[in-house]
Amino acid sequence: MGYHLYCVVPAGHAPSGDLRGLSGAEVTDIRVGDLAVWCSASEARIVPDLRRIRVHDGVIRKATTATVTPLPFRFGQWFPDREALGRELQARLDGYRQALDRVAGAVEFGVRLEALRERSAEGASRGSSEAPHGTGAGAAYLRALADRGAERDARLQHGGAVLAELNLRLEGRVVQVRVDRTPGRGSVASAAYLVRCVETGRFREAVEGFADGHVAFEFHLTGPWPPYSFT
Amino acid sequence: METTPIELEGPLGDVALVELVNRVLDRGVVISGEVVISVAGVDLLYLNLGLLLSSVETLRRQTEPRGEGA
Repeated sequence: MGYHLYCVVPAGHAPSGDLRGLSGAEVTDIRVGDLAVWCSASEARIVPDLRRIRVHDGVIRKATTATVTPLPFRFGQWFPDREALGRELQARLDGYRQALDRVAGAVEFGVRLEALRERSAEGASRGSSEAPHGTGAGAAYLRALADRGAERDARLQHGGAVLAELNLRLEGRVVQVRVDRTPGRGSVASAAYLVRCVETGRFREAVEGFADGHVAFEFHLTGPWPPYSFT
Repeated sequence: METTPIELEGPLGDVALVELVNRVLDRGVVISGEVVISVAGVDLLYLNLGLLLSSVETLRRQTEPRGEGA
């Protein structure tokens, strides 16, 4: 029988008997040394979709308590049998212990910045795409393309600078920061923060206060999450 | 040991949904394989194509040159 993995926890932190994971299978814990893995039976590797991703994340959330922060597995970690699983886990115990110590008593937050485009800037951009007298449509198109690229680069640079400023402001309130070098479509900067549970209120206040002072950007604060980005 | 789950993220808005997918597929402990999605009806093997679902960030990390001597 194969196993789909959810997270690593200290041994003794067992799932409740009624907790169900993917395909409605019971979530159980397999102990390896002083640690345990939450998993559920699955005959084959499971292909992800949105519903399954929510289930996977939901199990990890159930493992997150006031005293235990689990190490979440990325979706798709599957082993064909208990022996193979035990061998792999045994070989990585030291790393898991260190990671569990690092995230103990902490949760993850995400901050994503989107630039609010000013109407005047948009108007100017549209205007620049019109072909000046004596030039062809192709040249105008290429010029507009270059202008949009330059605008995008400028927004990314500005967003990165604002995020760096936020990170300076948050020093002492977070355990660790991970900045995404590729913030994704529509965003100009994003980062993940590992925050002690006792600091989450002050962390939120600090981010929201900072956002109030930077109206050129929309700040999306998400979390708390299990520490996916710090494993 | 305290076993009551603490309240994490509430109902997910659009941004949080993106963040959720990004985290669950792209981050976390990895010890076996990767998530591969094949497209039904397309002979990926014959075309010698593989479709790997990953974020740009992950692919960049994996393809960056490692330190000297690595």
